[in-house]
Amino acid sequence: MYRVLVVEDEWLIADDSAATLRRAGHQVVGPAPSVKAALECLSRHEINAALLDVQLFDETSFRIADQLQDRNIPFAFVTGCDDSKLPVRYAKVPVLQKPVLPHSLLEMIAQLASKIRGSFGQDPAG
Amino acid sequence: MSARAKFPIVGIGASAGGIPAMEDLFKNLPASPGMAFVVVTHLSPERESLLHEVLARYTGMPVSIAEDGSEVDPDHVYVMPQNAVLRIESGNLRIKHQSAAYRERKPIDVFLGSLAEDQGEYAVGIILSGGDGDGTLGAKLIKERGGLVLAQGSDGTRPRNADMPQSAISSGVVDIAVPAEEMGEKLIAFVQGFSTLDRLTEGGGPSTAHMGRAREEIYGILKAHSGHDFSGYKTKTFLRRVKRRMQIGQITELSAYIELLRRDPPEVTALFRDLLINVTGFFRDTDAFEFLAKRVVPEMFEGKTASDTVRVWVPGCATGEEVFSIGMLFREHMDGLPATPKIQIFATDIDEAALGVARAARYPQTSLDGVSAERRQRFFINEGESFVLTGEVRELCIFSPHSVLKDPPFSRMDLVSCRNLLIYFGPEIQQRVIPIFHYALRPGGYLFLGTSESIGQHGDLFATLDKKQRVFRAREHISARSRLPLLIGEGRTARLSGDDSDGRTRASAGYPLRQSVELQVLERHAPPHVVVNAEGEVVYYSARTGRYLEAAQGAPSRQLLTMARRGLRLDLRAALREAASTHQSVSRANVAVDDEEHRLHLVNIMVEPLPQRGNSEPLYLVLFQPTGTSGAKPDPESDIREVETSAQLERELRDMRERLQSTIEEYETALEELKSSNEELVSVNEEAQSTNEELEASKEEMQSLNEELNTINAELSDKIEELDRANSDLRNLFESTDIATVFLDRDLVIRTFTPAASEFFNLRASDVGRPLSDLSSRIDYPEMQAHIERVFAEGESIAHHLARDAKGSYYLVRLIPYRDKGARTQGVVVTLVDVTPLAEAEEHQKILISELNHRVKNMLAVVTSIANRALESSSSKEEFAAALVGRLAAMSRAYGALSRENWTEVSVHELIAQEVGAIDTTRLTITGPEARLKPQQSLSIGMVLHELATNAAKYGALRNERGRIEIEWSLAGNELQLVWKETNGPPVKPPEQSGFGLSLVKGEIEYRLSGVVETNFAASGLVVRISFPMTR
Repeated sequence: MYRVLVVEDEWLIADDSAATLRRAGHQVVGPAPSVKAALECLSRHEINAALLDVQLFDETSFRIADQLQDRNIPFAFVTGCDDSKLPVRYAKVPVLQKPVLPHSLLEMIAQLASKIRGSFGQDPAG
Repeated sequence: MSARAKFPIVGIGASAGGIPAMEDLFKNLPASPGMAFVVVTHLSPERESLLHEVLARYTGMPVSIAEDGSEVDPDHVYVMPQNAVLRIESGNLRIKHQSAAYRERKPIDVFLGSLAEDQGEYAVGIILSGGDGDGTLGAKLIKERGGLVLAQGSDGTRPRNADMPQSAISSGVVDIAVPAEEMGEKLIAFVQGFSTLDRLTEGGGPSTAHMGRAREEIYGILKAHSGHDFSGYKTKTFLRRVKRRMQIGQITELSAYIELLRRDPPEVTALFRDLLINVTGFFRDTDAFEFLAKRVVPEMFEGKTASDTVRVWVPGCATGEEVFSIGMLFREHMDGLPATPKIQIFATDIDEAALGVARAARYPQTSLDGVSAERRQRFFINEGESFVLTGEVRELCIFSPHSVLKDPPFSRMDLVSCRNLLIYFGPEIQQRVIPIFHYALRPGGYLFLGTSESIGQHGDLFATLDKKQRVFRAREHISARSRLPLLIGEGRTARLSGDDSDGRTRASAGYPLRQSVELQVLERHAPPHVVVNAEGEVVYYSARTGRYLEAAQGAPSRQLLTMARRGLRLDLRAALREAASTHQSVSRANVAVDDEEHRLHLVNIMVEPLPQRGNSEPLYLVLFQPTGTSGAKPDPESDIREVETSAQLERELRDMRERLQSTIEEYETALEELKSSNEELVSVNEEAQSTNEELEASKEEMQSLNEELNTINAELSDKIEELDRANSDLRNLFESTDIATVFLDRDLVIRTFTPAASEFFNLRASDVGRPLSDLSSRIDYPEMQAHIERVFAEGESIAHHLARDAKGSYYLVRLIPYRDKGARTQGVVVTLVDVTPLAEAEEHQKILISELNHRVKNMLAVVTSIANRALESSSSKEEFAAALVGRLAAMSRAYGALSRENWTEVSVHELIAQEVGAIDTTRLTITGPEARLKPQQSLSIGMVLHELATNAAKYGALRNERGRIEIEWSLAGNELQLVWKETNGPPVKPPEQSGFGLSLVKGEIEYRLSGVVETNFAASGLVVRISFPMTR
C-alpha cells in the first residue's frame, strides 16, 4: 500500500523489517544503511512514510529526519536509546523501541498513514 | 661512720660579691688546714655554675661539686650544685633538688642551721658579701649550739655587698668580724684551740677546786658588769662558753683569760652575750608561755567585742620569734571565740636588719625546735627547706624601728612583752624603762618579762601576777597621770658602761651604836631636811619639815617645789639648779617663808649634792636652817632709819615676791598644758608609726601580687605562643588548600577566606566585614542567600550542584554550619569544589549506559530478526532451534572475541579460528597476513564465517570425508580480500533461490560493511570472494 523508506544500519534488522513490511503489502524503499544512501533514496523515489533508526553506524539520522519534516513526510524513529535524548524539534515524532515486534511496526505505519490521509485528504496509494 | 678525730666543718655563705671574698679567704689558707669547707651561694637556677672551677684556682685543696650522700672529708672544698638545697646529716652531705614551684630563698640559713644541729661546737659559719639577710638565722643557730661564726667585716677590704654580713653582725651573732683575708688565720687558731681546751671541760687538767675558784671569779666580774648573777647557770655550759671565748681570743690559760676580763670590758660584754645566746626562740620557756596562754590571754580577750582591739607591744623583738609565738597563741585562743576583736601586735627593735629578717618570717627548720608539730602544721608553710609563717599570724604583727630609750613609747597597750632586752641594760636603765612600760600599758595591762628580769623598785607601778613566770599587771596611776621622765639633768644612758664599776656594794657596813647616836642627833638637833633626786622628787623626809613643806592640793605629789611653802619656791628652784649643774653646795640666805598665819620666817636654804654611790642616780640634800627672828642682824650704825626703810623695802619685796609667785604659777600651768599636748603628740606619733607599718605590709602584698601577675603573665605569654602557632597552622592550611572556602560569621558577613576563594570570587582583604550578597552575584546560585540562612537557622548542611559554567567546569557548593566548642552555630562555611572531572565522568557514564542500552536493544532486535528468519526457513522445531541457536552462538563467539580485546580490534585469524575450530585441521588451510578488524567488522565477519561453515557442513565440502576448505585473505590497500574455497566436496549446483545463509552473507558484507561478495558455484566446489574497505 505505502512506499516506506527504511533506514537501519544493522542488516539483519533492516532485512527483517523490510520483509515484514513487504508481507503486509507495502513497498519498501531501501533499506539504506547510511544518511548518504537514505538521501539518495529520498531524491530518487517517492516516499509516503519512513522508519528511521536514530543511531546509525557513526552518525544520527537527524539530517534525514529534517528533510522528511521539510517535505512533510510522516515518519517514526526506531531506536534502542532513551527517547528523551531527541532534539526538541522532534517532540511530536512518534518513537518505536527496539526490538520492534512485527505488529507494532505495522501499526505504526497505519498511524503514519492516517497523517498522510489527513493532510492530503486522499489515499495516495490509490 | 669513720672513727677518725672530729674536725670543724666550715659553711661559707656568699652571694653578690662573694667570689673576690672567697678568693681572699682561700688564698690565705694553708694547704691542709684540717677543716672541710662547704660553699653555699645564691645561684641562678638557669645558669650552669662554674664556681667549683673558679675556686679550684684559689686553693690547693680538691674542689668538688657536692653530691648527695658524700661524706665530708677534711682539707676538702665542696660546692653546692645549682637547683638544689644542701643539708648535712651525720657528716654526710644531703642534696634535695628544688621543684620548679619553690625556689629556696634562704639556702644559707638552711645549710648553716642543719650544720649547727649536726656538728654543734665543730660547726663554723662564715657570712661573706651578699645582698640580703640570708645567713643571720643560721649563724644564730650555730652560735646557740656552741659553734663559731665569722662575718666579713667592713674595715680594710669592704665587702662589695655588706647587707648579708652586716645583718649577722648587727643581730649580735658574729664572734669575729674581719676582712676575708684574715679569716684563714682565725680559723687555724680556732682549730688548734680545740685540743688544748678540751681539757677544761673534761676536767682532766686543773683541779676542780681551782676550776671552782676561777668560775667564782668570772661570776663576780659578770655580776659587777651587768648586775646579772650567773652562778645558777649550768656549769658545763658555762665553761664551754668560756672556752669558746678563749678559743676565739687565742688564749690557752684560764688565768690569762680572767686577766683579760678584768681589764677589757668589751670582752666581758662578749662573754655575757654568749651566755645569753639562747635567749630568743619560739615559745622560749614553755612554762611561761603556757601560763600566758592559760591565764593571761583569756583575761585579755575577756569582754572584748568585735569592735575592740587587743594591742600588744613587743620591744626588742629582734628576729621575731617571740612576736610570732604570741601571735600563734592569740590565733589559738580566737578559734574558740564567736566574735573576735581586732589584734595589733607592735614589734619594735633598733636593729633594722633583724626587723628585715622578722618581716620575712622565713625560718630554717632548726629554728622551729620549740614549735610543736601541730603548730608547725597549722602556722607554717613548708617551702623547700625553710618554713614560712602563714598569713593568719603574720598579718597580726607590725614591725617598726624604735628605741625604747630615745623614742616616745606606745600607749594603751593590753600587753607589753619584753623578754630579751632589759638584760642588756644596766640596773639604772632598767629602772628607767619600767615606768615607760607602765605608761605604755592601760590600767590592768600585763607586763611579761624574761626569766631573770624584774620590776625592781617599781612595786608601786605593778602588781605581781606570777612571780615565777614574770607576769605583772599595771596598777592604776597613783600620781597625777604619771609623767614621762623629763629630765632636769641628764642621767647616764650607756649600756653596761662598766667604767668605774668594780662591784662596791651598796650595803653600808654600819655599827649599831654609832647608828643610834647619829639618829638621835639627826632627829633632835639637825635642821629639817629632805633629800631629792634629779627630778626634784623627794626621796627622803626628815622630821619637822612642816614649816617649810605643805601637802599640795590634788593628788599626792612628791615634787619638792610643789610642796614648798610660799616664798621658798623661787630660791629653792634656783638653788637646786645651781647645785645640779655645778655639783657644789649652794646656799641661799634669809629666804622668807610664809606660814599659815602669814607670819614671816627667815630661813637659810642649803642644797648639797650627796656623794655618788656606784651607779645610783644623783641625789641632793636640801637643808632648811631657820635663822631666828625675822629681822636682819642688828646694824649699829644706821639702826632706826634703816629699820623703817628696810620695812618698807621688805613690803615692796614681798609684793614683788607675790607677783613673781603668781607668774611662776602661771608659768607652771602653761608648762602643764604643754606637757599634756606633748603626750597627745606622742600618741599621734605612735599611730602614724603604725600607719607606716600597715603601708609596709601593703607594699609586701603588692610585691606578692606582682609576683602573681608575673606568673600569670608568663602563662599568658605561653598561651599567646600557642595561639600564634595555631594561627600559623591555620593560615598554612588555608593557603595549601585548593578548595575555595569562605567563612561567614553570625551576621552572615565575610570573616575570612582561603586564597582559592579569593581567586574564584575575586575577594580582597578589604572584603572582610562585607555582607554576603556581594558574593552571590558572581556565581549562578540565586538561592544561595536563602539556603545560607536556612543552614544557619537549622544547623543542617546543604549541598548544591552548579550547572556547567562558561569554561565548562562543574562546581559543587556546600553550605556547612560553623559550630563553636559548644556546638552552637556561630556562622556558615561556604565551600566550592571543582567537580568537573566527576561531572564529566558522570556524563560519560550516562553516555556509556545509553550506548550499552542501544547496543543491547540492537542485539535483541538482531536476535529477534534471526529468530524470525529461522522460523521462516524451518519446517520443524528442531530445524528452527538449530538455525537459531547456531547463529546466536556464532554471534556470541564474535562478541566474546571482541570483549577479550576490550572492544578494540580483533585479528582475522582469531575470528576464523573460532568459527572453524571444530573442523578437523587436516581438511583446512588457513592463510593470511596479520590483520585486525574493527568491532562492527568483526561481528559481521564472524557471522559470515559461521554461515559459510554451516553451509559447508550441510551442503558443501564437509559433507564427505575428502572435502577440503581453503581460507585465504590478503590486504590490498585499504581493502581486505578474503576467499573461501571448497574442494573435493560433493557436486555443487547453484540453488534456485538464495537461502537465508547466503543472503545473510551478502547483507552483512555489502549492506553493512559496504563491501562486495562474489559467489561462484563451481563444479569443484563453492568459492566465495569477499572484499570490503577496512576504513570507511
